Amino acid sequence: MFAQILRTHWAWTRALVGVLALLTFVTPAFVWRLANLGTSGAPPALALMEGFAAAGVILAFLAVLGAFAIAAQPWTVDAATNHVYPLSLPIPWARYLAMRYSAGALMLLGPTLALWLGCVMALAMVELPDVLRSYAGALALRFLLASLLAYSATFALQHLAGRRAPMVLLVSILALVVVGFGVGIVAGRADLVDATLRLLIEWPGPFAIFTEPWVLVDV
Amino acid sequence: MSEHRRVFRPLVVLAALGALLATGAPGAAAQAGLERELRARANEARLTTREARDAFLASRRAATASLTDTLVIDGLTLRWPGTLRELADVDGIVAGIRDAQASLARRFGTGGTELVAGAVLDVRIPVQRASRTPRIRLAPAAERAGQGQTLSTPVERAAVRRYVLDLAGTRLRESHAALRTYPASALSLDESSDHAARAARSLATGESAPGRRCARGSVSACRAILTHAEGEQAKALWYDREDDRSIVFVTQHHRIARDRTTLIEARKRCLADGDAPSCRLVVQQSAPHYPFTWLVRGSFIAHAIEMGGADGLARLKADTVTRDPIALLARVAALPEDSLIASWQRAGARAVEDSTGSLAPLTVAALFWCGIFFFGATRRRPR
Repeated sequence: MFAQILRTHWAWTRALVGVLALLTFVTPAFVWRLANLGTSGAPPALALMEGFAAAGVILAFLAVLGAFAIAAQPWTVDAATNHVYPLSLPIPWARYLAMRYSAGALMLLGPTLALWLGCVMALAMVELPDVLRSYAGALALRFLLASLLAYSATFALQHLAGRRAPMVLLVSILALVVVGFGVGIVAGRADLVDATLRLLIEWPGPFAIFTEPWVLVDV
Repeated sequence: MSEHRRVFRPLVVLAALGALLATGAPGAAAQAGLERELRARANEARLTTREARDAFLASRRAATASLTDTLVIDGLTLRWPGTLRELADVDGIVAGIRDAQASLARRFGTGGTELVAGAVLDVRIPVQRASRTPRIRLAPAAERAGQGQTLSTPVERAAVRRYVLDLAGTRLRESHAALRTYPASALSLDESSDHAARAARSLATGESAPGRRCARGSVSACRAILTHAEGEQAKALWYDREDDRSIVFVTQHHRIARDRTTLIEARKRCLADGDAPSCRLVVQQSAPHYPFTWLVRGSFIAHAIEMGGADGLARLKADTVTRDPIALLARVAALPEDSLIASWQRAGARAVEDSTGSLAPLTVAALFWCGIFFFGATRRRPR
């Protein structure tokens, strides 16, 4: 049954996975090309580190966007038929969700592999000084974890809020901003907002993976 | 009938337009009058706001001008205006100071706490025009440029601790002529600072070959970049010939005098074609600059002081003759010079490794949250 679900997941999201894989593949080379315009020869180590630094931001954005699409698309297809197919299956709902979730998570491996290959190719184009080390594998793993996290959050939101998911997400963000800044301004307690944000983005918060450094080359 | 219509229709239209204009003119005049009135009211309101703001600032200045409350904490005097309690938690400041003193005492004994004993710290409330987050300023009574620090309220204990440890470092550095005249960043005695890692990164990625050799563990190269030098001697110590192109790469146009078109052309040739004579020409004619962050030397001083501990501070106090900073710091650390340099280099490399962080805890946290999200998703079943 899992093979069947995986097959349908692939059929529904292959275009998205393909585009995401292409984007992650070209990002390292593209970023380096942008940073290195106007200069020639071997750049100093610092320029190399700074040149590749922008890749982290772009990749974090792609991780969120791609994972969101990969989680939302199959749900939309299911919802169009009021989930008749999954509900008619002779298995518990949680087991069906586990298979659906796993199938989506497997789709994330494609863009991750493409990113790793893209990093290796981009690094092959530059002469890396001996003081620098490449972290292509670590960067790809970070991308996979960030994608998986964004995918899981979207998956949960979509299955809990149903068709109202975009509205719930929007309202949640607005509420966080309004309440957070409102409390900060009214009570003069900017530290409350900071503390809340830190809980979310610092280890072991859910989104710590996005704020830790995403580096392709480092000392 | 139709003939009459053709004749009278333009007349009717003209008459209607005339009537409209006649009724509209007073309307336009009334609107202009209203606009004038509104503008006058807005100006009035603006004036009132300005007066109110000036009055507020004046009262704030008067309230914070006198430091009426005083507390002595192990020899360190803290003074603050009476109005501070309304705005900030003095207890937080005191706790931060005590934390710093405890850290100094633990690492350097009584000599450590003596570093900040006798200091007078003033807490002031800076007058802020549009402040969403009230702030305070912590500074020595006789504040010199860069010695004060503005903190958000409620004051974070850790920020005060960091500030007092930095102040201890500054006072320590000023206590000895050899350290005072040694060009370096401000000395921080905060053991949790990231200075060592930043210094090591700067060494490894700088445009200086001796710096990169130092990052790889060469003690003689480290000694060269730690040595205080100027002019041509500095260039000879801090750079190799192989660095020429790298130096030119990071030498911006503004470092080359504007009228030196020859040098600008040489820079272009050096960067575009790697022409060695052009690179050398630019390097020789450009002002030399220290190829790293000054934290490199700052972290070296901090490392030596840390190695020396309580006895090291005593040795520093007793030494009044040594002028060479590296020799002095080796004496403080009670190590041969080369051993101290090697130990500092290794500490920097370790700090870099630590700052990169391990992926293992992040992976565990991410998988845990994925599990939580999945569990949440299973809580609702469509009907």
